[in-house]
Amino acid sequence: MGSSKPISIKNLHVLFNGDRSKHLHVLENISFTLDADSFVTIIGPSGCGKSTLFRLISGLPTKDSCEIGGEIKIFGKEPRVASEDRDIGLILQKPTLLEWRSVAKNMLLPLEIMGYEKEKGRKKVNKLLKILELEPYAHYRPSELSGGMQQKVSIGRALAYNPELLLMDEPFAALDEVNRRKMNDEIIRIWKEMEKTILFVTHNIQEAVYLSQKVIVLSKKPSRIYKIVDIDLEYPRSKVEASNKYYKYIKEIREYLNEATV
Amino acid sequence: MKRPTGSFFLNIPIKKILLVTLIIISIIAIWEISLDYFNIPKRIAPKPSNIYEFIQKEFFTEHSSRYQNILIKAMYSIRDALIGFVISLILGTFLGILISRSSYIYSVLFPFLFLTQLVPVPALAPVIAALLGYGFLTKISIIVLFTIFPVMIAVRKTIINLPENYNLLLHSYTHKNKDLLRYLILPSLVPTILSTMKILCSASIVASIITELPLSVRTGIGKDIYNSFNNQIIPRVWTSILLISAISLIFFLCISNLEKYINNKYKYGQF
Repeated sequence: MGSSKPISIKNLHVLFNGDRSKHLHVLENISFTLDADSFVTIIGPSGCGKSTLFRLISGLPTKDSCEIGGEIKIFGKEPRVASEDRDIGLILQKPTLLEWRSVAKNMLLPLEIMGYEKEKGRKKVNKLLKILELEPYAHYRPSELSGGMQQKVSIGRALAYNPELLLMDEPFAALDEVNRRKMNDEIIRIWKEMEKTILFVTHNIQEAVYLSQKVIVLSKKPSRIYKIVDIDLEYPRSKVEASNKYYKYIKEIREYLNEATV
Repeated sequence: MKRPTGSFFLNIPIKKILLVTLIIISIIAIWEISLDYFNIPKRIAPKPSNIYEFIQKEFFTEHSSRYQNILIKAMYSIRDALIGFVISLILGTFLGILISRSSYIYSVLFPFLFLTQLVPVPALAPVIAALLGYGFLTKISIIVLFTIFPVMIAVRKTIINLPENYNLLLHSYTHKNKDLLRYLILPSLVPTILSTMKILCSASIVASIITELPLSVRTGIGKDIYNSFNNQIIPRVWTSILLISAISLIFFLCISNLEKYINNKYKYGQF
């Protein structure tokens, strides 16, 4: 991957061509880069195009009627190529686990598709189960786990093939406050331990400040980058979340979001 | 926590069995009495005692071993129904996958297959017979044509209704159709195929019997029912109908229990 940035986006714009010449400008002039091993969060009002941006970065198929301009590079490659090269680990809003496979087999899925040797794959998954503290549940079915645990399995599945970049689309949105906080701590622990670059999408300001080193605030449609806020707080954030500085960041981002929605 | 494993075997409470037995006995008794009471002629409906006498004669006398009884004839019809059933299931699943993956193939294939559903089987039989002859091949083709449509539609519907997040996830791992098929599409289709099998089991038996009438197949219970009716051997007609119904019911119960067992144990297609 050399010295290429995990994510480099230049002048990205997306236009949806609707019926009867109705065009919808979703993203406009989006440019940013992510450094290796960084944790960056994208935040914006509902429907601002966060998920479209997420799809484009992930190399996932977009609507046929979509016009895309500008450049997205993942480690210097097209997103689809990066996805095929297993540089990207995807964690979606829903855990998206296959009920007919056990927890361990769900985590093994990408390795099976990649044609990994069975024994080698199993060892890798066992190691991950240990790191994620999921060992006792290896043979459970996904529906037998809580929402937080299911999301943990989906994180494990994304980590199974050791991608350098993790893309997370509101992964804890469906969890209650207590579990969300637990999972936030968990994801920071994984990020520190495994030295990954993480791009996290959320609409929760507290979560954005708690997790990341940098918060990108998007405006309403047509979405532009309204502000990029560097979060200069030490980890673990649980130690500083009662500080004035922490609340100042939350207040600042809330104000930016309010301005960006007008 | 104990995981539900499902059971392939029937687990019917004794009370229910007794109740069903009582209902059947009552129906038979009312049937027997009312035919005498209302003076209903034998050519319309035989009495249960006539059917019983026929069954005795057909299956349990020396006479029965000398010729092909209705059970053997029914087995020929069931064999053909089973062949049609399996072909329909495999071909229907394949075509269902094909039309769900390509809107072009869907628009070409669908109207043609839909048309075959509008034409009654006896009307279609001579057309196919002109191409394939009046025998086995035509019979199987008609059974397949009669039963393939629900399989295709159910398979297509399941595939196009797969949750988008699953499609996206699999796309992030692979762009190969064979991987999508193996890891997502085929496991998701298991419950659909199993429930379609329940519809198909009786439909294929019905198609097998109806198809025998316009074709020159000699063995088969459909032809036998037709000949027996023409010769006014009414107890034979009714016994054949009861036999076919019993076989269809057993077939249906087996598939129904197989469906419960597989769905409970393997959880395929559950999101």
